[in-house]
Amino acid sequence: MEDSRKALQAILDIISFDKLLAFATVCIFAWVIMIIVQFVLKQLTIKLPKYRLLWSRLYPFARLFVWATVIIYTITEIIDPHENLILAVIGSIGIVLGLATQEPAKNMIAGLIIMITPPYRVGDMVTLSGHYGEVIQLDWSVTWLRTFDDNTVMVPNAEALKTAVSNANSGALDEMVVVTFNLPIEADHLKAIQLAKEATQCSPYTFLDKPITVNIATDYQYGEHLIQLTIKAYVMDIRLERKFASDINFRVLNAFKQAGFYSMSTSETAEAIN
Amino acid sequence: MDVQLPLVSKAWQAIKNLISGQTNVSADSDSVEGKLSLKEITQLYPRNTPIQSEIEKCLLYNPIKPGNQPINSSLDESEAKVNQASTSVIDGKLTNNLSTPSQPFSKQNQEPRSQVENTSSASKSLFIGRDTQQQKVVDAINRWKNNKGELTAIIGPFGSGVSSFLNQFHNQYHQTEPVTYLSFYHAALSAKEAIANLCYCFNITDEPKSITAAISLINQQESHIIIIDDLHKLMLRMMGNYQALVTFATIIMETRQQHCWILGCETYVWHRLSSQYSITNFVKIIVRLDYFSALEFRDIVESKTAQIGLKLTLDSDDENEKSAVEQLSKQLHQVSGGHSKLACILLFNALAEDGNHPLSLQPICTPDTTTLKQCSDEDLFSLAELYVHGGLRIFQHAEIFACSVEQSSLKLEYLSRQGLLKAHYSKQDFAQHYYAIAPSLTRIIANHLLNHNKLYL
Repeated sequence: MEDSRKALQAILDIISFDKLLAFATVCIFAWVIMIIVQFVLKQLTIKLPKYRLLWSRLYPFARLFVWATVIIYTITEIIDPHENLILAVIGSIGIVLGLATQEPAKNMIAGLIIMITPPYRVGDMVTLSGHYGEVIQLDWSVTWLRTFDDNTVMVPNAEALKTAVSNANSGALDEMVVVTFNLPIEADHLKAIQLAKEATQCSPYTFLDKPITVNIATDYQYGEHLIQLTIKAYVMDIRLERKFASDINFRVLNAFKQAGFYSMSTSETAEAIN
Repeated sequence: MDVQLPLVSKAWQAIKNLISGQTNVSADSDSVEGKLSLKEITQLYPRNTPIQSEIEKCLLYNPIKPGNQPINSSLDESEAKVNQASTSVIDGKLTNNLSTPSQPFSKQNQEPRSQVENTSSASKSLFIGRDTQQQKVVDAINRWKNNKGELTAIIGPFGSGVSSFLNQFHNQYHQTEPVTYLSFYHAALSAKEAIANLCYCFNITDEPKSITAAISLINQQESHIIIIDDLHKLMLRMMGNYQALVTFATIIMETRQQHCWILGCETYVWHRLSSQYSITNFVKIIVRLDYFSALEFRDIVESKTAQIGLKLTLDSDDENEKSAVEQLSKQLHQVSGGHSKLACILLFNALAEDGNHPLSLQPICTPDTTTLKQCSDEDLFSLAELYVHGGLRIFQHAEIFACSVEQSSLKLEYLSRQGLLKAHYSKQDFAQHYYAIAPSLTRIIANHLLNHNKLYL
């Protein structure tokens, strides 16, 4: 009976007004720090956009560090409970949380794993659970993607670890873009390769530090043999991926049309019809 | 919220600017205290109007040279012409870097370019802090004379003095060797054009049809030192340029024993050429120039202040004067990042020239880059292409960005009105208007583009 009273008194001591006030103060302080960190990182992104991936990656770590410090400080310095009480509370909370929050806990642990050994980071272009887009935020339990249709997709972190992740740029600002063209088999393939390479080089969005490669293959579609050219080039910024692909298409098609590759096919088709 | 007390108001403004991440100055407004807008800097040099005073000539148009003797106040006629040409229309015959269709580059066989003064003394250095580089080029020429010729490239950012540096060799050798100085302004877009351009260096009018014949013919010509400035202007992001560059490179590579080829190129363009064409595998001697260091800058400031007769201290104590010059040069170096032209403009702007002597100096302003910060991503891409090409015509910009000539015209004119570009208008065809990065802003713009991932090294 005496022990129970002591335990109850200890719990009541924890939720004293002073301690609650101290806890609230620490939380507000941490919150202000996070706002400052966010502001500084945002300013750095504006000033040095070249390193924007680095700045955006720092935020999850800063948040983890600040809130972990708040928790540790609150327990050890503000609450300062008796060790028996800690064990009892941890045990009870552990059982309850373990049963009630299996999925969120799984996601949070997955989030921690992603932060420590990242298969992707903020700013990467990834395919997660069938969605392709830029990682815009990495939370403890979920990852946020922005797709090219400007949709925001939330993917649970546990899901990201469970399935295969395709990462297009792995932390770099540039990214490989692949564009495929089909030409009639009669077309001059040497000239086509040269034109495709040069047209790609002419795009202002091409990252010229990395090589432009053009691969050739043959294909059989709709009863016709075709030459298949695959252009692999790097875009300067992952956000320009679609624009770059479209630009390459525009330029290479122009070059092919001027070289008469498609008109030749049309005339020959007409001959065949006649 | 408007606060009336001056200090509090200033602080409040600073906080607001910090929060919004930008200043509240419009592109047309020139007045942020202690700042000089990019537009004002562009207007100061090169001027659209005649040069106002001897001090302006001395600071902005006369070459930088070691020593502190006052420069002859009369500006060389040819220099004045060059300065005026930068703002002239581009039709008809031009004396500067702008083209007539039949002649894709400017050429000097005997007469040195006007930006470097004439000198008969070959051994005397005209430059501050370029001795090592000069020696490397002299060694390369000597090796060529001993039949061990290799291609030589002088690489430096815009405004670091590559053209002046190359001109010095023209002046130095033209009395003893046949020297040709070329500055291209039409990039070749086919192998045939590239061959024609190179044949023109040797006054071959009936150019051969094949590369092999061209190499053979050029190798039969009398030995020449050929200085090609502005190599970056040969690289154009248009169809056909790839083959032209490969042809050009093949010919100069195959004729390097007979002729001494010295190429001048901008740093970022050199990097592009290295990535795409592996040019560093073929050019054996690479001489790098950079903006001036703080120490070299002190010599420049010392020389310029002596030339214009500017006294920084009231007493006649030399030590005090030296210390004041040092402080001024440090400040100018910090603000301009070693870009001497920009520093001279800022110094000129700080001079209170009211006709009275002695001249007095107001605080040095820093460039206000708000205009640049307000540029959209597309504007920055345009600036990057203008930078690496050394300037573009409207139709070329339209071709590179796959947009209409009208859209290109509007974009380039907008950037020009922001003070970022210098325009050269054609009277006949608006598509031929030529735009280039303002020469005094090259360093500021290049740094901004580098930070915004539009240029890379």
